[in-house]
Amino acid sequence: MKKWLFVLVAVIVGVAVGTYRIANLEHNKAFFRNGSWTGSKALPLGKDNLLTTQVSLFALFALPSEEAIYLFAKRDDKEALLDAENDYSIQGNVNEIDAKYWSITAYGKDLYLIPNKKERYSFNNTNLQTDSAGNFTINVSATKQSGNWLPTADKKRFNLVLRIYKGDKAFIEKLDSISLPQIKRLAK
Amino acid sequence: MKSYLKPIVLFALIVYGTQYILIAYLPNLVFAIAKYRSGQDLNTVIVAPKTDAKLRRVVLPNPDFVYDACFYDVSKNDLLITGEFPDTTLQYCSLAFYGDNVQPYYVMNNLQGFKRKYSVRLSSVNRVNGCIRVPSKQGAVLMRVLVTDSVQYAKAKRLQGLFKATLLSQD
Repeated sequence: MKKWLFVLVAVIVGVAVGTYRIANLEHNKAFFRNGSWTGSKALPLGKDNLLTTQVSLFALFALPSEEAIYLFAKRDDKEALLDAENDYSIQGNVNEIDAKYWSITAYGKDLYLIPNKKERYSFNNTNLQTDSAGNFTINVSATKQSGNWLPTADKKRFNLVLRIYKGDKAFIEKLDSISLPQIKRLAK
Repeated sequence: MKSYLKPIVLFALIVYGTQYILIAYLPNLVFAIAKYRSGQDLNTVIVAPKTDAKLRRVVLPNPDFVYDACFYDVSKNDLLITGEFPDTTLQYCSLAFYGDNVQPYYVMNNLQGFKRKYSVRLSSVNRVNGCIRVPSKQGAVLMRVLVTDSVQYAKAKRLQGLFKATLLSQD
């Protein structure tokens, strides 16, 4: 084999290996899984090259963990990928998240906000409709729903991001084990 | 080394080196692309409109925030960032400073007891005090203001207008 072809093949394989490692975000050991949510209590940014690159690509200009925690969900509670062909409910209690501000936002597969006529992209701790005990349900659907309706695009994969800003330290410490909002696929 | 092992080892080294370089330097490339896509000169303030589905310059925008940004270059001048935080701690607001690898190196917010009017001098040269020594000559500053209702939005618009970036001599 010619030398340049040998080097070219090796470089292509190297790029493929690197790309696979970067894309394999869910399996980075720095992240915990709690239900559908994947995240970290303290991202070792700048110390872990792979993680730093993953955060740069998938959460550009993210804040450090002391300021905000980002939890990602691309699967429901049965481990199936979130797909706007289905409807989902996100159920939780506002009192279970101890933070200055938190929100749940829907993003398309491309990680941008999903266009919709209602211009509703997220719910946060100030605008969720809850019952008297603080329980809430967010209805994630491409078709109009009552209550807390979070629109998605029809028949497309999507992601959810739970942001927690200035969370209570004791709460953040338990983030990998406490009850977080559950994402359930609804029967058609 | 046996002759048939040599190309295998060489191949493995090139593969390892390539993926290492890709992972190590991709954040710098991401920064360069973000800077280019901002469509603004360095050291000028970008006042972003209300965050919605049309905002497609940065992934995962938070629709509950409005943003000001400034991509800077302090290789020849210092840069003075000035502005105001909201008059209440109920409306979260932060300034985050990023290096050219898009990693944050300094964050200040209105919950930490900073004065309402902020003034931060960025410099690439050593000083005793009074400024932040940047980890890389180029980087970005991002102001985030939480907006949960129309009153907060009006306040945020005002704060966006007060966010300034001024070049200063390094002397």
